[in-house]
Amino acid sequence: MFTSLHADKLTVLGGNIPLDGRVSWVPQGATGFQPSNAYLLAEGTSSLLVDSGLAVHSEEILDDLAELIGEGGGVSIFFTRSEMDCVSNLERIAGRFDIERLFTGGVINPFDAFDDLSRMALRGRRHQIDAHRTEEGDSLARAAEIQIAPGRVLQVESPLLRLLPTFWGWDQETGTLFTSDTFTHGVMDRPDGQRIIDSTVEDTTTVEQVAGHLYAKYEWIPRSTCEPLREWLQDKFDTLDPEIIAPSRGCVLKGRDVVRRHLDFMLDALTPQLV
Amino acid sequence: MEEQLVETMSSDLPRSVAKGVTWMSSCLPFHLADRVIHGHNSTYLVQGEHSSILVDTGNPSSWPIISSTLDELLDGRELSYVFPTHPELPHTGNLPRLVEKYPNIQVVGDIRDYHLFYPQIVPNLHAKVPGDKVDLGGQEFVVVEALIRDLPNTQWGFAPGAGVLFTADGFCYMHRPELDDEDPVHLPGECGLTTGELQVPIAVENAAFFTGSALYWARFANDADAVYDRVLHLIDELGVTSVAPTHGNFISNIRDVEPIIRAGHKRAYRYETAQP
Repeated sequence: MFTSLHADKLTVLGGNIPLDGRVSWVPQGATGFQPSNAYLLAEGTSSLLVDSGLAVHSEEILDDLAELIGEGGGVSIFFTRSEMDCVSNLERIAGRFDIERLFTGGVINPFDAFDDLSRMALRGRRHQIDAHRTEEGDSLARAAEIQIAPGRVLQVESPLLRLLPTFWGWDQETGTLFTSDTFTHGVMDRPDGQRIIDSTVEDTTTVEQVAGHLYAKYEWIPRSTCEPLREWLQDKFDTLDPEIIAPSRGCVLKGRDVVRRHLDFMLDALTPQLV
Repeated sequence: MEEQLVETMSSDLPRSVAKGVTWMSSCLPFHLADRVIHGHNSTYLVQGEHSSILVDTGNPSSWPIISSTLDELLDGRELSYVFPTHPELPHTGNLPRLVEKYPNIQVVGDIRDYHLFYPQIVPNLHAKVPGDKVDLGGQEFVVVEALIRDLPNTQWGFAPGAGVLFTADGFCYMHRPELDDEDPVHLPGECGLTTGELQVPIAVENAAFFTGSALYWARFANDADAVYDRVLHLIDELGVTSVAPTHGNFISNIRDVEPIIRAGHKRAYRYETAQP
């Protein structure tokens, strides 16, 4: 079941992950349900999907996509990471829709994960977004742009806070910052719970919860020099002043007060001795 | 020139590198302006008297050559086990194809998350923790804690009878100073060479560049000595004689290579002056 985040402009799709001890990226002993997210940015008849969700949710994601763009419709895709929680529905989507452009970084061409010969045709639709690297090995120093439609772009940047090659997206039109595998800490008690934390929801998030989720995957944070990460993050949010944080998994964080509160949680989590 | 992203198996491989251990590396060719370089994406087959285990699966784009190489090495026998070190495409991307080819295969290791990525292979998933052993018949495979990793659900493996430690992304490096790609690379003709056979040794700056890129956390965590002291302790404890990374040449002289990798890891740290 998809949910509109910004009328006709931004929708979140995906399913829930039961936290039952079989998930590596949440704190040990975590319970409840974590949303797994793909986002559809729309402008007129053009659409850009940010990540493709989990294979285990493919049926609901593809059905929702069909309702939003029409059966067999055209869609471009941007992968924030080439990790399986982002890419594992690519083949299924390609089998049912027309992938017009695929924006991804890294060496591996995700289309080469396909079995069938159509991958050869699809490979030409891939756009490498980290073709230029700095001398220090940073894949992308500052923003590239993906045109969603004439007059509307998604700015893309490789964040300082990352684990593997990762790209954040910034959609100024909706004030949405796509943060991939950070800000993933919002979980639900029930599978039909509220997958968006906004001003209408009682927000029981704690800094310990944020830190627990961050350290589960970024296990090096507690033993690291975090000041540059905090400075980068603070600067990013001061500059963009986002209204929505849209992570690849976890509840969507909506509303500037909510965003600021969760940024503070994250900054504290990046000060490990305070947690 | 159009980028080529199809892996090929070097004509120097597969190659037996230890008792019952065969190095099957496919290589990803990168066509630069003035040369072609290769990136290893290795799988290793450990064979015992009655069973075999494949360490990592290779990229989907190399499946045809991996499949035919397995046919050749197994000579009509089924592949009993596959040990994906962690769920990234170069390491796990062929899991569905392996299950289709060998329906009874057991996928062993830290299999958290795999039910979300590959729901069709759930019956084949068998969780293992460090210390667990797989009996191959006259050859064992032992699951080992990954001491250098990116994803948290990474594991290493060890074949005691062969003395080979399988380290996934740990000990991956490039060894040519003039090369500038962040992926561990080598030149054509070097695909099947061990580190003891390479004519150009690894340079610290190569190890630093790769570590700072592929093991991104090394930029922020200033603990290389602690990490590699633990690795050396593990090597002593297990009796490791050689190291088999997924990316990079097979390491036949680990005592010579480890100090270089350690120094590169130290150099990857960026915030020395920020320390109190």
